[in-house]
Amino acid sequence: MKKCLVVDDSKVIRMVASKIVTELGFDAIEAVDGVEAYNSCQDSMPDVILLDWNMPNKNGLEFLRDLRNMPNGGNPIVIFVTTENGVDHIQKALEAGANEYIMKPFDADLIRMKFEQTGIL
Amino acid sequence: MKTETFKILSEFIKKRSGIVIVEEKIYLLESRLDKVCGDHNLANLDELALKIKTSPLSAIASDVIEAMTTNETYFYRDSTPFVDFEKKILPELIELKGTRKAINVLSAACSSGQEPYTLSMIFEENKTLLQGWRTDITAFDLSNDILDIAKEGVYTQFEVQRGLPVNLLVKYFDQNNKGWRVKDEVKKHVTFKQQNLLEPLNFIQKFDVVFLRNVLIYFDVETKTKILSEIRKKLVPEGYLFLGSSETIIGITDEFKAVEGMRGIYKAK
Ligand SMILES: C[S@@+](CC[C@H](N)C(=O)[O-])C[C@H]1O[C@@H](n2cnc3c(N)ncnc32)[C@H](O)[C@@H]1O
Repeated sequence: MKKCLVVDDSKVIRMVASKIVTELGFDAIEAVDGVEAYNSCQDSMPDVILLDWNMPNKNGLEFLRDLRNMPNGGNPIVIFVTTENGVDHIQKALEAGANEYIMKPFDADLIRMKFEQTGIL
Repeated sequence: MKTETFKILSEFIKKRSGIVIVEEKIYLLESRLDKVCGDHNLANLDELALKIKTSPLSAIASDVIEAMTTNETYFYRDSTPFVDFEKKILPELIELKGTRKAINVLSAACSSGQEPYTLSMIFEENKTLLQGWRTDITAFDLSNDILDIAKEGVYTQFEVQRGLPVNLLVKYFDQNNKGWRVKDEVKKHVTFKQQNLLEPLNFIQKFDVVFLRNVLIYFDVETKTKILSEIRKKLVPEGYLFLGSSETIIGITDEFKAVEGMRGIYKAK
């Protein structure tokens, strides 16, 4: 089963996103911030990551930069899921190696569409 | 709603737009036309029907048509047809039309513009291959209101997220306080026009490819046959027709044949 890491400091968002990806046939793992996400990736690299931007300890962008420098860190599809909806943020995310970008709010349809677009589904 | 009211309204809608409302869908009339009644200070659909009967060319009448059309659309809708267009059909056209260096595409029933702008972005993405070519997209719809939105080309966050890959969003849209505006380099390929599919298609040029997606579903077989025959006249020999993913030519026309390996894509016979 493919693995999806859901990174968000909000418990509610993690729950909603995990439920959606589980229904899409993924094994959902959760992390509360960039530090936990990094440790989780060291432990086992997921196939896809849904990544919040603003989080304590290590934010999504910092995590993504670190991830892309890890061995096999280039493999996971990374999709930002954030309230940051400015084009400058999107540009930064893409430069750091994000594959897609979802501006909150999101729903199951949108996640499925982005999964299909990035070829993970 | 009186039986007479249903009859007047459904016949009027069919006559003006081709859209068929069957009795089981009576709720659609109620849910969509309630607002039209309110806007024109009419108490209910019975009064509305009476107005339509006495003045079928009034503003109320066109509001009824606007309200009954479904405008749902998004960028790269269903994705595969657009991938097939870019990866299979466009290379073939470039090879075929090398001397004239012009490609004409029609986006019929284009709604708020996502379909023609998607095609336009595909042209832009291939502009090195298309250096020195004319790539024109003609787009039409029945509804003037929706065409105004298409021409403006400003979309909400919700609309740009559905279907559009984010790299194309940052490349071909400018963000302003109203939303995301399609850049001029994308707009320049597209010409919007008002046209009813039930009437003779008013274009001088012939098209290499016609997109007629997610609109035939609203019509009865007889209307579908007529429309496809009109479209056929506007296609070049062996021109391509793209239908929506739930639409088919089977039992409707033999003027086209299915293209093997490309779902929803047909070739003029
Ligand atoms: C569901 S949208 C399809 C948009 C787009 N082709 C797509 O596939 O996403 C249907 C459109 O057909 C238009 N339409 C309905 N009846 C029509 C007619 N008789 N002539 C031209 N357009 C019509 C509506 O105004 C609406 O914008």
